Order: sequence, then C-alpha cells, then structure tokens
Amino acid sequence: MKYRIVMIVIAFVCLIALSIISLVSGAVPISPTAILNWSIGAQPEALTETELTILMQLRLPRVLTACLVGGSLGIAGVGFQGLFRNPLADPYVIGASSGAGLGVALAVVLGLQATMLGLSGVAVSAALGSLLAVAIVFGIGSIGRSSSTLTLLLAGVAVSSMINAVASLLMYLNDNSVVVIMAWLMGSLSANGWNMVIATGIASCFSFGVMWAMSRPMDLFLLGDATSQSLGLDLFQFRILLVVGSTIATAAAVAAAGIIGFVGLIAPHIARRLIGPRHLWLLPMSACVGAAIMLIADVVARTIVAPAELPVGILTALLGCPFFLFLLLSGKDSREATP
Amino acid sequence: MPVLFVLTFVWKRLAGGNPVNQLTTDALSFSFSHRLILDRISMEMRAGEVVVLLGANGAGKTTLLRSLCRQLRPDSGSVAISERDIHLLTRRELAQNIAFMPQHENRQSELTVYEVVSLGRTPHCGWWTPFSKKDMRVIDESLQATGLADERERQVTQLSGGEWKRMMLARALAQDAPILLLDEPTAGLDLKYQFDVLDRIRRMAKERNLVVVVTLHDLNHAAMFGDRLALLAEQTLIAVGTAREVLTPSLIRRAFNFTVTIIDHPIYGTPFVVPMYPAE
Repeated sequence: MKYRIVMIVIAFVCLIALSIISLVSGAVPISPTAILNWSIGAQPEALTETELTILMQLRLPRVLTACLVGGSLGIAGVGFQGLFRNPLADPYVIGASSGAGLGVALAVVLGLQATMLGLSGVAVSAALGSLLAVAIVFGIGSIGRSSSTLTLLLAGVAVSSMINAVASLLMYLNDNSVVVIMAWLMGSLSANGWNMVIATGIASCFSFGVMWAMSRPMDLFLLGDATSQSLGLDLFQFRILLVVGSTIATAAAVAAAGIIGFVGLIAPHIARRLIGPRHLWLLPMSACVGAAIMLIADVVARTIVAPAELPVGILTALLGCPFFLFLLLSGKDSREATP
Repeated sequence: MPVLFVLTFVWKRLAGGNPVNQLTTDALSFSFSHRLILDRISMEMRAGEVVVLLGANGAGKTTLLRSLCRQLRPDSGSVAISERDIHLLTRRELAQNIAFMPQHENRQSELTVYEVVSLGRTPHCGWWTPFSKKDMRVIDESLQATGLADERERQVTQLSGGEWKRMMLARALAQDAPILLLDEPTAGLDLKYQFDVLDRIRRMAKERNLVVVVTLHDLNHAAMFGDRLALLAEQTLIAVGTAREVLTPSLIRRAFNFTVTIIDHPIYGTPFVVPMYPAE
C-alpha cells in the first residue's frame, strides 16, 4: 500500500519534470529558471512578451495535450486488455482506429471546413468515427444470447477490415488527398490549442472516473465469467461501461493527436511491472506512464530534426518498442509479486 | 382461518430478512440447443445438510448447479430461496445469498492469494467500499480454514492446481452466503486436502446452518460426507436419499453403466463402493 502510493508519487514527479523539459525545449529555448521566477511571481519581467506567447499559446497546450493523449491511451489500454483478458489488446482492437481513419478520410475528401466548439472538423470527425465504429462492433457483438468477449473481438476484426476497405476506397478515388489524410493519421500534437486541451481533458477525466470506479470489478473479471457472475457482477453492464470508458478515452486521444500506436499497448505492461496488477493502482500508473511516453516522444519529435518535426506517432513506436522489449526480456525470471 | 393465512403471509413479507432455510427447484428443465439435459427436476435442499450430486460425465451435474445460481436460464420451472424466486433478486442480492464455486476459472490474474480471496467480499462491499474490520476478519478466517494463511502474499500465478482450488474455496467461504454450491471441490486436491475440505464443508453446514450442494465423483466420499445423495441420470434424478438408499449396485449400474459391489465400511459403517474391475 505505502509502496504503491510512493510509486504513484514518484511517477507524478517524473511527469512534472518531463513536462518542464518539454516546456523549455524547442526552436526558441526558454530558461527553466526564468519560467520558475515568472510563475512564482518573483520576477514578472523574467520572460519577454514573445516567450510568454510561445509558452502559453503553443507549448503549454501542447504539453498538456501530450499528457492527456498518453494518459487516455494508457487507461484505454488497461481497459481493453482487461475486457479481453488478453495482454495483446490495445485501444484500437475493436475498431477505434479504422473508424477514425474513415472519419478523417470523409472529412478531408468532403472538404469539411466547419469547426465545432472551436475544434477542427477533421478532429471531431475522427472522434465520431471511432465512437461509431466501436458502437457498431459492440452492437454486433451483443446480438444473440451468448455475448461473449470472443464474439466481440472477432466482430471488431471483421468490422475494422470493412471500414478500412471503405477508407482505402475513398483514398483511392481521391488520390490528391491521400497525403493529407495520412499525415493527419500519423499523428501530431502541433495544431492543438486550448479548446482541444479542454475537450480532451473533460473526456479523459470522465473515462478515468468511470474506469477507476470499476477497478474492483476489473480485478474480478480477470478470473472468468462464471466467477465474476457468481460474485454479483452483471457482465453486460460491466462490459458496456468498460467499453464506453475506454472508447471515449481513445476517441479523445485520436481527435487530439491522430492514431498514436504502441502507447496503449505498452503503457499498461510497464505500469504492471512497476506497481502490480491491481486496477486500483494500475489505472493511474498506466495513465502516468502513457503520458510520460508521449511527452518524451514529442520532445524528440520536435527537436531531432528542428526546426521541422516528425509525426509523433512514428516516434512512439520507434522509441517505445526497444524499451518494451528490454523490459520484457530483463523481467523474465523476476516475476515475483511486487512487495 | 383465511384471516390467519393472510396475516401470516403479510407478516412473512414484512419480516423479509427471515433466515434462508431452503433452496428448492420446481420442475426445472434445461436444454442446450434442443438437446434436453435436465427434465423437470424438483428437489428441496434444506439448511444444515450437505446434498451430494452424483452422476456420470455429462449427466448434467454442473448444468444443474449453474441453473441453481442463475448462471443458466432454465427453459421452464423455477428455483427459489426460501420460497423467493431467484429471478426476482438483483445480481448482488443473489451473490449475497448464493456462493458458487466453478470447476475451473481463468488463471490470468496476477494478484496475490489474499487479494483474490478478498474479492469474495464484493457482494457485500460493492464496487468501491473499502473493507471493514468484519470483512478482513472473514477473509482471514477463510484463509485459515483452507490452510492458505501462510500463502497469503504469494502471487496466484505460482499456485498449483490444488492450491488454486483451495483458494477458490476460500473465496467462496469469504462470500459468507447461506447457500454454498461447489462444483467438484475435491478435484485436483491431494489426499489430505480432499478430506480436509469435505470435513470443513460438512462442519460448516452444521455450525452455520448452510444449504450445501456439492458435486463429487468419488462415491465413497459422497457416502461419508453427504447427508443426502442425489443421483442424476437419464436427464432426471433417478434417486434421492441417504447413502444406503442411493448407493445400490442396480442404481449405480443404471447411472454409470458399471458394476460395483457394496460392502460396509470397516470403520465408519457407511456403505462402501467397490468397483468390479475388470468387468466380467
């Protein structure tokens, strides 16, 4: 218990440190001491007007979006791995990514210019695509008496392929928009202002709340359908809440940053190594780990080829994979329970 | 007289929380995709007695147990706890009243033994409420009762099959329900724990006045620990009664298609089943 609280606090401190590194690095370097002096009000003139604008209008929203996107993917990963009792599941396993792809393709091909609550039409369309695709998959998976998780998984694979085919067809017929669509899907955190931070923040806090409240049923669910039912869990209600929570988090992440691969898969695993399998601790830890991965990937993405920048979605996989493999192999023979 | 009847009825409704003293099925039928498994089964299981379900593989023992705890919806007929239909209860009320231990469960969890057993308190604590002193005491007692007190911090991935089974039993005990349905509680246990577990179950049935239904394969265990035996064959209960009444060569031949001789147990005096092998 104490150990776990300490771990969460350490993770949080690391996250704040990473955020500060992310704030000060970039094309225009800003000294951390200046930020500190300015923020505690000791030296109001420590930052110039330009620096302040860069900090408040570009970097801070970007850092917060990175944290929210990573955190959302982290908890959605825990959710889907729990739902399918499968360590290979990730937030996109039942169609969220293909739905988002189709949403973006449609928005770009139709030349959607509208904004909604200050969010770009493409982003909203991506989120709606994700939600709709998962809703269809869940609807199909729940038909019939035995709504098993396997049906849901297979329905997800089938529906995803179909949606992907439609998206490919759209791109094939409109080959001049392929680059725009691909660039959007590869993921970037650059074009996000405060509106996106607020929208993503509300969605991910909601999801986190729903899922954290279910941490005990999630522990229980891993023991199988029969056991969880006999301990009073309504499986249908549980599945629907878990899918809603995970999918809203995923859709928020997709809208803010495109399809970021790998974070949702590895963050839960890394968090499990750090804090153990209990969902009460695993969920916040996975959110922290996901956020940290996104922050690191983002800093690298915009410094490594500065002043240009790489799509952050490419870097999460490039950097995350070796680290994950290292953890996987080094932890092989020390699979004892965490103290 | 009618007035008295109505008054009794009203009083019973108002009293509500009267102790659970029986589990009954009324003409319970169940079929899996048009194959009839259970045909109009009616039986009554009373508090304080251990009922052992016997039958060949595929005779429907597990199906019956799962119908008793609403995991399977019967085609017709009903199950009632002290005359209240179980389909009128919420899932949580049901879990407070019936603890069901399945034969197997998923072994993916990486929790510790203590954490898994503590999940048995979920029907009482719900999704959030932290464990009270009473919850912790019940969990500790269940661990003690199944000989797992020293294993509480072990990760469940390291447990052997038999230890896992004992942990499942501990969790069912932690559920603290007046009705206990156990599907093959002794399968996979070593000699000591087969008897330990059955003895523990029997004593708890008497001490706490529980309704206990277990499925077993060992007919001699059934004879020693069951108050009543129920023999499932031909989609129905072909015999219900004491070991003496149920364990007869003809009934066993009918249920298992196997020849046995019955002798008296040299020490306990209960019927003792001796398989005749090789079959003549």
